[in-house]
Amino acid sequence: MKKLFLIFSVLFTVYSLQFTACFAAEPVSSDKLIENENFYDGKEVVYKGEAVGDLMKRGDHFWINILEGSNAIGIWCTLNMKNTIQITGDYGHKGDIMQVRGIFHKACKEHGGDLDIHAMEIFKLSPGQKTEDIIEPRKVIAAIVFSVAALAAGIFYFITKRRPL
Amino acid sequence: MAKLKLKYFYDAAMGILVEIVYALVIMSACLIMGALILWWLK
Amino acid sequence: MILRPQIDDVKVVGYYLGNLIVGIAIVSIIPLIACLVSSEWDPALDFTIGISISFLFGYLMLIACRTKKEINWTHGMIVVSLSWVVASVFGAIPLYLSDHFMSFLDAVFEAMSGYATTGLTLAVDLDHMSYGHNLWRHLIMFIGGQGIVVVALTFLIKAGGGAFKMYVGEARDERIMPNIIHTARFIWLVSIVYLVLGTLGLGIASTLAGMPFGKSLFHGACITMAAFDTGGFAPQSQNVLYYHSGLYESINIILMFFGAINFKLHYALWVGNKREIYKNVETRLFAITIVFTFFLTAVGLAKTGIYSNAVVLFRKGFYHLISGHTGTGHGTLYARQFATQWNELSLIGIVIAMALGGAVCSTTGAIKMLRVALIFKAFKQDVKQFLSAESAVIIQKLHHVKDIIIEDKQTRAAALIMLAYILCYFFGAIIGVLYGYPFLLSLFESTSACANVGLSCGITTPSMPWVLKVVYIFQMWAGRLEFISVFVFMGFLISAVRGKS
Repeated sequence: MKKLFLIFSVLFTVYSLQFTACFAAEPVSSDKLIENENFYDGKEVVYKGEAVGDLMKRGDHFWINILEGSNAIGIWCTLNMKNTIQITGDYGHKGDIMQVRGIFHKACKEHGGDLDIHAMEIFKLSPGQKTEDIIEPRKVIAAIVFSVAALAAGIFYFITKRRPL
Repeated sequence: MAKLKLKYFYDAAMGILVEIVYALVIMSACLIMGALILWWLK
Repeated sequence: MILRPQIDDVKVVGYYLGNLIVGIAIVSIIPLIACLVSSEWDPALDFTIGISISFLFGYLMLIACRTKKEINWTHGMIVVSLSWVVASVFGAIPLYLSDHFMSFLDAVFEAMSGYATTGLTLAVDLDHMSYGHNLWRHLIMFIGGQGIVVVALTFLIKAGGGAFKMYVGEARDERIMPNIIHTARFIWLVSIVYLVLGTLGLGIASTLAGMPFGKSLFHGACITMAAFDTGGFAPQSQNVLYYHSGLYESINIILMFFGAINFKLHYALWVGNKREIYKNVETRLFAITIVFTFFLTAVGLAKTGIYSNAVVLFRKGFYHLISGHTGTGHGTLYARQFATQWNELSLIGIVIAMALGGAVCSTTGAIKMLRVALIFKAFKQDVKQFLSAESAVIIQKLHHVKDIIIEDKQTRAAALIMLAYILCYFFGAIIGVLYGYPFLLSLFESTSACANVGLSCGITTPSMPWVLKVVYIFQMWAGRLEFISVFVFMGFLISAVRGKS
């Protein structure tokens, strides 16, 4: 009985590790990945950030660039991962925050030497949303004031232009 | 007049093509040189 | 004996600058329309403010600076040198209002980088920038590449003595056509044709690479404006790495070549003189220097072992070398990778390539091919003179559309400008070292700024010292104008204080 319990515990622990693996490894920042690319080259990394730009389909894979801090890194994914990303970041949107686990390459041979991550697993941490185009009242006032002043100056210029010096 | 315009258009197109060929020749030469350097320094 | 400038001299300069500022206001309407079409309301306000401030200042200057005095060489040079500063300050207004720049200085840096077709960027969060603001960044490059004065000549100013004087001041002294206005318009025709070809070519390439067609065309237009004008801005923070496409990069390289070719050569080729492509001294020298500098870079990279096959070496090594040599500055590497992955030999190849540049009267910066060829041939002539009988007269020629005999006057001018560039490269490098950056990286960044390239090894960031920002702005400005008009302007200021009245 004890033996059975022991086997079951071990199996249960091993089984649950595949879920904790996603959360146990700390995501590495883009700055750290780029600065220490020799160390991370060929290794499995966890990277998280905002999906930006376009999801670019290439055959049975696709590219998505994920922005973290001040750098975006290209993630090479298989097509079956496509549905995890709905919203990508641009002017009007904040993109989905994604977490990816995959192999980091400092100069990927398959992709012309690009620094990239070949995703093994990707999932959404939080969904993206539309960003409000906030119009500041002082900008509106400034626009009106300067436009009127410019118009006045312009009219004055065209009137005085014809007068002899 | 139309024939003259067509000639201008043709000449310009050929000119652009010549420039593209110039670029491609240099690109190819460097691609080959790069391959040779990699092979030589392996 | 330099005379102290009179109030009328200032008025002449002010009048032309006023016209320029109005011109900038008019051109800024293009990104405003883009904002309205894309429903980007806040950016539309930014441009409205920028446009109206520009119109206001422009008209005020036109009103205040009316004068009967005619424009002379000094005025022409000063107008040109100040145009770039003025254009950068007014062009920076909508950029600063976008909240993508940490300070107004950063926005001015960006605008100067655009007009001077450099490409060093201080933009923050580029991936979330509006279409309007991004279009403006790239449009500035398109205008700057042609030359602000050329724009003015094409649209605003009538032909006359002043026109040519300003044209020369803007580092364009090739007479392509007898009439200066026609020359300016031809330069525009070439640019528009390549803009259309490039937009379509890159648009198709990125559609094949998986981007939606409309956006592909927008990106294609932006990258073409930046590549043909050998500028180097891109709509996304990863620059051309964003596309992850070898085809895209190849078309990009061809556009860079187009931009590095002398407009006079474009004209010669376009009217049927096809042989000029291999007879011209600049195209010959350019081919030689590309191969030579790539040899250095390739050997350097091969020794590091990072790029292990020929295709990768080409897509990373050659791409950045040609980007540097043509003064473009597009990249598929993160800036810091130049510092951490490339070794000294590979960086030296790129620095030399950046320092040399492309053809004269192209959109490129740096010393430029015709000057290097001239100096080299003159040197050869001197050596031949020593090897020949004392009474022998050695005539050295070079072929640049037509055969030209080398004379001392041209050689002196070429040598002085070459010296000015080299001193400028080292000046910026020394300032970088003073701020603690390693020498080779400082030299790389300084050369990139002064030669209007735009490749960065990581020094140019919003957090860099403000003094370095000002130094690079000065270098981009002086380098674009090939120093003479900048020094004439400084001389003008000094003579205002010290000159004889």
